[in-house]
Amino acid sequence: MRVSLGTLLFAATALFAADSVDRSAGQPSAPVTLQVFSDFQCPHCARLHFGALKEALTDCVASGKVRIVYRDFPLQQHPFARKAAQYADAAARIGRYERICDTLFRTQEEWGRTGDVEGAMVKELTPAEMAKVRKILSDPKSLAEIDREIDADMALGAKIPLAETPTMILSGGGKTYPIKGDVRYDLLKQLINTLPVK
Amino acid sequence: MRRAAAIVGRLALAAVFLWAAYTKLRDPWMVFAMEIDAMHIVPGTAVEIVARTMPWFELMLGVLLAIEIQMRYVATVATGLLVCFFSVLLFLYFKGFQGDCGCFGPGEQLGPKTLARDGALVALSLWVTWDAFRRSKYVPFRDGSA
Repeated sequence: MRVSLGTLLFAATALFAADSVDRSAGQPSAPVTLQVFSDFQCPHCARLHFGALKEALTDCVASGKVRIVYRDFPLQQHPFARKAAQYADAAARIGRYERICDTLFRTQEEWGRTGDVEGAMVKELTPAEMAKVRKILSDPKSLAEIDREIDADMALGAKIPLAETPTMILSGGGKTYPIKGDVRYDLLKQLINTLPVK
Repeated sequence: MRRAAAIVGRLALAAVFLWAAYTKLRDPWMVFAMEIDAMHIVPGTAVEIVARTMPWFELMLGVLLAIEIQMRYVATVATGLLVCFFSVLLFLYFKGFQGDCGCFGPGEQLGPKTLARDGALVALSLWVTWDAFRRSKYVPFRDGSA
């Protein structure tokens, strides 16, 4: 098994590192944490996002058992994935992260061809919200902060080591499991239910 | 010398099956099920059955190979299973699948190294099977019947 216990524990503990912006869903005190490393241009990530993760949001996240932490892992073969991550992280700063994630995954084929990430977002945000996003991204300090967050996520993924997206790290009750691919929610839920919850 | 090599080969094959079973059984069956499901080659309803039974089947083959019982049958089944695994991995690799191969638990990505190793295991298993038939002096279809 290439994923060593040490790196998984590192990944689990890294969750509690101070994130400047919240890119998570669920209660911070949830006993189970699911870290999702994804790339906005990856079709499997989109399938996972609209499949198992959406079901999790309405089920085990809503019940307070699971907290989902979103991590950026833009792959080299996707030229606009990092740009999309920057826009999504800027949207997180105005409290619109989940909505923009939905939009970017839903329209990934369109902006994936042209690189027009902003064009996809304009349809989803109000002009005032879009202006705030533009301001964040045009401010070198804010952009550098966003880039640092993306790089930190990628460094965490590389340490696991993570070779593909989507990859999830499920941790709770002292146990940690790496899960790869766009998995089914019924299987994921059964695995979550095996984790001891205090 | 040849006999010693056959014993080493058989025990190596047994160890491979036992290790494969252990790496799957140490985690809940859902972990292996999700690896199989991510390949999109097993129908949804069969994923759970395969994930729950395959590790135990591998364990049984490993034990039978180790204690050398009914070697002709056991070695033939082991070879058949390895050929199936190898064919599936080849298919997935050329289809562009980049996920886990699921061979020895989570975290092992499918790639040329995995294929080379599994190809070598098929070769080893074929040799162990051939040796089992040779030693039993059993010649299939000797009387000309099919």
